[in-house]
This record gives sequence, C-alpha cells and structure tokens, in this order.
Amino acid sequence: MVVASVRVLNPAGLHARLASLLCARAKAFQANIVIRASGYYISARNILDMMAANVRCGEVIVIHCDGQDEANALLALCEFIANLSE
Amino acid sequence: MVLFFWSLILCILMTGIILIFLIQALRVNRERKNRHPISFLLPVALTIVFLYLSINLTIPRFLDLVNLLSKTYSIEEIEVPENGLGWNTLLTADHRYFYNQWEIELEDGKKYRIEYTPRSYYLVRATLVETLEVSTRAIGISNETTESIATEESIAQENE
Repeated sequence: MVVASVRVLNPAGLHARLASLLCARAKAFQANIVIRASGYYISARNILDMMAANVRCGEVIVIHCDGQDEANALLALCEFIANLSE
Repeated sequence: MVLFFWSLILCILMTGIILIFLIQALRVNRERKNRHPISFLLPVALTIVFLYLSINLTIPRFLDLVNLLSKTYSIEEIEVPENGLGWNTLLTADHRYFYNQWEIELEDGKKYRIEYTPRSYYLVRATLVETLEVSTRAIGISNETTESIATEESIAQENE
C-alpha cells in the first residue's frame, strides 16, 4: 500500500466536474484507491461519495492506493489534484 | 465475493420457488380445486413470504451487483466489538455485516477500515487501521495533515 497527502489548491475545491474527472482517472487503474477527506474514507471510484465529501480549497486529502499499479495510480492522482484548475 | 454470489444465487432460487408456488396456488384458487377451505388463503401467506424475501434479501443483493462490478463500495472505519464476531457475521451497533472468514480475518477490539456492499452489507475488504497509520507516518505525511484530520474529527465529535 502506498499513501500520499495532497492539498487541494483549486479555489472552488473539488466540485462536480473535477470529481468526475478524478473518478475517471481512478477507474483507469487496477489498484484500489481510497481517499480520506473531511475525516471520512471515500472510494475514489465513486463520484457521489467524492461530491458528498465536499472537499474545499486548502483542505488536505490523504490518498491510499493498494494493488498492482498502486505507485502509478498514486502519482497520477497526486499530479491531477496538485494541478487542478477551475 | 464467493459468499456474496452464493447467497445471491440462493436468494434468487428461494424467491423463484416461492413465486412458482404462488402462481400454482392462485391457479388452484381460480379453478376452485382447493382440497381444504383454508387453502384459499395460501396465496396471501405466500405473497407475504415472497415480498419479505424479495425486499430484504434478493433485491439488495441484486442491486449490489452493480457496486461489485464497478468496484464502488461504501467505506467506514469500525471497531470490532467484544463478542461481535459470529459465524461469517460481524455485528456492530449499527449493522450486521457478512464476510467470508477464510478470506477476511477480523479480531475482537481492533479497528478496521472496511469496504462493503452498501445494501446487503457484505465485506469486500478490511484493512487494519494501525497498518494505515503506520504507512501514513512512514512516507512522512506532514503533521499539518494529521492535525487537520484530527481537528476535523474533533469538530465532528463535538457537533455530535
């Protein structure tokens, strides 16, 4: 299992469109990806959970990846979240 | 997973058999070939059993197939209560979870992050929270992160 924390710097936070893009990226990997945000664990593949987490600007989220391509998945998601733009 | 599919097959079979009996009982009623007068009420009893099985067992499992195929599970952090572990079941204050004890090992009093099917409560994965914390510290996640999480948890607890 690999873990990393990322701060969401997008002014609008992780809104619906970005959440859907994040889910699409997460689904591209075999690894099981779980995100800890706002004190809750959510599946990165589940767009409704991602939106319900209501991740705001400046919030730090922790990404847990577990599986075959865990390193690649973690890198891709961290890169995506770090480079978010509205 | 195997346990889930077996239970799904079993539930579909049971519901199907009850449905066949119900159709037969209705046919006998329509043709007025009842052997006992009380057997007129058999369709009523069978309908109740059919609805109970469908609503509580078959439909939740059937709907959870979508979650299994798309690998989107509900995730929660739970502490296994003392004497909460039974034969393939885990009983907490909120729910009764089903799991395959040859696949998932749980111990009393320990905290786990569980991934389960949202309607039928079948455990797909259970990770010891200690393992998560160790791996979180190992990669050097800043104190700020853990503090912010701790603060959010304390705020949530205060609100409760």
